[in-house]
Amino acid sequence: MLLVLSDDHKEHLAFLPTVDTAVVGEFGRIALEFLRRGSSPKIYEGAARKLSVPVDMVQHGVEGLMFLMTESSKHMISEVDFLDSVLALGFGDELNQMLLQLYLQHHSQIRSILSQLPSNLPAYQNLEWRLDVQLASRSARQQVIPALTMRLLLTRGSDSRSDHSIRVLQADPSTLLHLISTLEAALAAMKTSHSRRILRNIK
Amino acid sequence: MELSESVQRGLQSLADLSVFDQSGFQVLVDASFRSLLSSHADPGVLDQPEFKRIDQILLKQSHTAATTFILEAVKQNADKSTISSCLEELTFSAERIEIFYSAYQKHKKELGRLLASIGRRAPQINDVSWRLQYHTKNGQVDKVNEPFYSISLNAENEGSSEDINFTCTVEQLQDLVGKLKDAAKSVEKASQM
Amino acid sequence: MEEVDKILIHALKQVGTEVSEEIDSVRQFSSELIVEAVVRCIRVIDPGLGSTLPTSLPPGMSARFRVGMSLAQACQDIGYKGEIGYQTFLYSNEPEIRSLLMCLVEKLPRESAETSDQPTGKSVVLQRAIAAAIKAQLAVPWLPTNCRLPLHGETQSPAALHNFHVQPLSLPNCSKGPGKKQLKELNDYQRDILPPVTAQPSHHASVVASILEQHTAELSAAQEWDNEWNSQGLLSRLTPQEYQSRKLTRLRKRIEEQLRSAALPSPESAFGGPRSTSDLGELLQAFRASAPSDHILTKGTHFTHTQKFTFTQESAAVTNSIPSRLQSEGDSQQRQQEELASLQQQLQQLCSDVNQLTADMKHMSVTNTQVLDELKQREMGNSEKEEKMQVKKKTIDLLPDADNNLLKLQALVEASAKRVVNLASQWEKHRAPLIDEHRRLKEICSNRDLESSRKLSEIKSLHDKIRVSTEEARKKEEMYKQLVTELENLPQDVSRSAYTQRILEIVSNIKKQKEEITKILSDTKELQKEINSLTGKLDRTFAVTDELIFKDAKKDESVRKSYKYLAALHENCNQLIQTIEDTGTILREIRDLEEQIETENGNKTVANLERILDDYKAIRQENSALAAKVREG
Repeated sequence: MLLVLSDDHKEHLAFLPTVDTAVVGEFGRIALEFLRRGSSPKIYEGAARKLSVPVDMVQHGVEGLMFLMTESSKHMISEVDFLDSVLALGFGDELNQMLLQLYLQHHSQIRSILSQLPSNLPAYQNLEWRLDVQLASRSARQQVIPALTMRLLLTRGSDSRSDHSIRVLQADPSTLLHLISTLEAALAAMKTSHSRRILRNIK
Repeated sequence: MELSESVQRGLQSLADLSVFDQSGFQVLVDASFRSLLSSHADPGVLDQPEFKRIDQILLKQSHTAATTFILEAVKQNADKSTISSCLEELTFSAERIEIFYSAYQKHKKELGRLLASIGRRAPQINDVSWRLQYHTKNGQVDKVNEPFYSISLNAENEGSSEDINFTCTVEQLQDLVGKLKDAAKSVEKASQM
Repeated sequence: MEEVDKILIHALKQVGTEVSEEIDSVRQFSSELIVEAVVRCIRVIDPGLGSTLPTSLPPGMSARFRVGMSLAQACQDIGYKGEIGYQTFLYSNEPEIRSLLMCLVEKLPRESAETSDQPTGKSVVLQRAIAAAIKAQLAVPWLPTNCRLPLHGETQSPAALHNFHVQPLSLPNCSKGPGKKQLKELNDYQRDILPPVTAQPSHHASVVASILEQHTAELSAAQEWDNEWNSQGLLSRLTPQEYQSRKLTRLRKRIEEQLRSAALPSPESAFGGPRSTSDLGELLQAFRASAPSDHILTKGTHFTHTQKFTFTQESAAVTNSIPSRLQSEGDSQQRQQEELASLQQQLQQLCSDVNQLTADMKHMSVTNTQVLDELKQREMGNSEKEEKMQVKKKTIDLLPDADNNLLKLQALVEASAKRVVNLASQWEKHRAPLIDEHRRLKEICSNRDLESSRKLSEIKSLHDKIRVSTEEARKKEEMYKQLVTELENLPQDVSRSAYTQRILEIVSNIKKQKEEITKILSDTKELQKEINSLTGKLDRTFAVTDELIFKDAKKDESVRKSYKYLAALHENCNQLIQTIEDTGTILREIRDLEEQIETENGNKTVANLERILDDYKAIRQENSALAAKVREG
C-alpha cells in the first residue's frame, strides 16, 4: 500500500531538503514531541529565528512531518512501501533513509497515541469492594442486611488527560454470585473455537 | 419503648371500654394496620358503622396513637413481652392485648419490609450483560485487531434503573472477575462464623 | 475401670451405638458391638472416612477379615497410636479395646463444650445473626428483577427505596388538655374535616416517615422540657405554667429588643412620634407597616396561590363537564388569566389599602391615648393648683386680726406638738412588739426557705436517682433478655453434670485409696523397724550368750555340749528365718504369676485361639469351596 500525498503536503515538505539533515532530525524529534504533548508556537519561533526563515515555513515543515508519520503509522505500511511513498517527494537518498528510520523507530508509539484518540466508552480501570452489613436505619432498628459495596473506577480517553469517573454500587450476595458466573461465561466465550477461528483469520 | 404523651392518651382512650366496645376496638386495630399497609391513602378509613357513635376527635386521636404505636413497635422489633407490658401499663385488658398482638403478628413482616424500604442506598446492581467484540479498525488507526468486552451493569436506584456501560480488555475482565471472586470468598467466610 | 467403662458406654450411646442395658463393662463387648461402636465413632469424627465402613460384620470370614483390616486402617488414620490390626476387632481383648475406645471417644468433636467456652455476648450474637443472614442470602437463587416477588423481600434486599421524607402532620389536639380552651371552629374542623393521619401526606410513601418523625419530635420535646424543668425550672419555684409564661415573656422581650435595635433608623423616621409599644405584636405590626411593599408581596403571593388553586380546580371542573368547549379552552384560559391578573391587582390594591388603614388606625389610637394621658395630667395639675389657692385664700382671711390669730395659732401649734410627742411615744409602744413580731416572722420565713431549698435538693437527687435506676433497670432487662436468648440457643447438654459427678466420685475414691495405701505403707515400715530391732537384739543376746558359754566351755564338758547345742540352735534358727523369707518371696512370685495368669485369661487367649482355629477352618472351607467352584467353572 502506498501513501498518496496531496500537493499541499508536498509543498509543505519541500522545505525539508533545503536545510541540513541534522535540522530535519531535530524537526522529527519536535514532531514526535508535539504528537505526545501538543504543539507550542514558541518552539516554531525559536527554530525560525535560528534558521532565519519565516515561522510559517518551519510550522508547515514540522506539521507535514507529523502528518506523514501519523498517516504511515495509521496504515502500518511496510518499509518498502514507505520508501516508495516518500520517493514521490523527490528527496535525496540520505533524507529518505532518515525519514524511514524515524518511522521505524516510532511507529508503534504513534499508533498507541492514535488508538487513544477515538471517543470510546469508559473503560474499566479498577474495582474496590468491601462487605457492608446494615444494622439499623432511621426507620428500623435491628436490621441485618448484608451487601457488597463496590467502587468501580472507569476512565475515558488516554492516561495523560483521562477523566476518571467513579461509580459506587451495591450488590447482595446472590447477585454477586450471579455476576461472577455471568462474567466467567464471558471469559469462557473467548476460548470457544468460534472466537479462536475469528481471531486467527482476521489479521 | 418510649411513647409520647399524646400517644399514651390516645391509647388509653382506645383501651377504655366506655369509648370503644369490643367490635369497635377490633375494627380500629384492623383499620390502623390497613391504613399503614394499603398502597394508597384512604381518607375514608375511619368511616365505619362501628365508629358512628364515637367522638370523631377521640377516634382520630386513637387512630393516630395506634398507628404510631404499631410503627414504633415494628421499628424497635418489639417482641410479645415488650408489647404486652407496654399495653398493660396503658390499662389494656388481656383480651385486647391478645387481639392487638395477633394482628401485629400477622402484619409484622410486611410492615418491617415497609420500614426497611425507607432509606438511602447506593444503586443496587441487578443484572449484568456482556458482549464480546473484535476491534479491527477505526478512523484513526488501522489493523487494531484485538478483542474486547462491552459490559453493561444494570443498576437500580430508588425505583429507576440505569445502565452503566464500560469496555474492558480480556485481561481487565479477568482482573474484575478475580476481584469479584475475592469478594465472594470473603462473603462466604463471613457466613461461616 | 468401672467408671471408665461407664463413661465410654455413655459416650458410645450418644454417638448412636445400641448398647443393651445389661452390658456395663467393655469386657462384655462382643465383636459385633465393638465393630459397630468403632464405626459409629469414626463416622462422627470423620464422616468421609466412616461412610465407607459397614456398621455390622458380614457373615463371610474373608469379608470379616477385610472389614477388620479397613477398620484398623481407619483407626490409624484418625490417629490411634497403639497396636491395631484385624485381630483387635475379631479376637478382641479387653485392655486393647478399652484403650482404642478411649482414644476414639476423646477424638469425638465436643461442640457443646466449644460453644460454651466461647465468649458469649452481644457481639457474638450479632456476628451469628450476620452470618446467618449472609448464609440465607447466598442460598437464594438469583432472579431477574421483574421475576422477584415480594416474598423474596426478606432475603433479597428491597429494590425500591424511598427517602425518609417527612411532611408535617396535623394532629387533633386533646380536648382534655388542662386549662386549654379550644375554639369552637377548630373543634368543628378537627371533628368533621381533618382527614386521618394516614391520609394526610400527599405522597403515600411518606406516611410512615411522617408518623415516626412526629412521634420522635414529641418525645424529644418532652425530654427537653423535662431536662430544663429539672435543671432550672424546679429551682425557680414556680408552677410549670408560670415558668413557661415567664420564659415566653422574657423571650418576647429579647426579640423585641433585637428587632427594635435592628429596625431603629427607618421606622422611627417613617412612623414618627414617640412609641410606647410594649407588645411584640404591635411592634411587628409597626414593622410591617413601615415596610409595606415587602409585606404586600408576601401576602399577595399567598393569596395568589390559593387563588390559583381554586381557579385551576374550577377550570378543571368546567372542562370536565363541557368537553365541547375544549377548542375555546385556550382563549378562555387566556381571558381568565387576564381576568385573574386584574382581580389580583385589585386584590393587592385592596390589601394594601386595608393595611394602610389598619396602620393609620393604630397610629390614631396611640395618639388618642397619648392625648388622653395629657388631659389627665392637666386635670391633676388643675386640682393641685385649686388646693393651693384655697390655702392662700384662708390665710388672707385670717390676716385682719393678726395678733389674736397668731396666739391662737401658737397655742394650736403647741397642742399639736404635744400631740405629736404623745403620738410618738404611743407609736414607740406599739412599734417594739411589732418589730419583734416582724423579726420572728422573718426568721420563720428564712427557716422555711432553707427547708424548701433542702427539699428541692432532695427532690433533685431523687430525680437523679430515679433516672439512674430506670437506666439500670433497662440495662438489666436487656441483659436478661440477651441471656434468655443465649440460654435458648445453648444445646441441652445433660451429660456434663453426669460427667462432673462421676469425676468427683472417682477423685474421692482415689483419695480413699491413697489413704489406705499410706496406712499400709506406714504399717509395713513399722514392721520393718520392729524386725530390725528384734534382729539386733537377737544378735546381741546371741553374742553375749556365746561369749559366756564359750568361756565356761573350756572348763566344763557339759557346758561345751550346751555350747554346741547353742550353735546348732542358732544355725537352725537362721535357717528357719531364711526359709520364712524364702516362703515370702515365693508367695509374692506366686501372686505375680497369678496376676499374669489373670491378665492372660483376660486376653481370652484360649478362646481367641479356638476362635482363630475355627475361623481358619472356615477360611479353608471357603477357599476349598471357591477352588471347587473354580474347578467346576
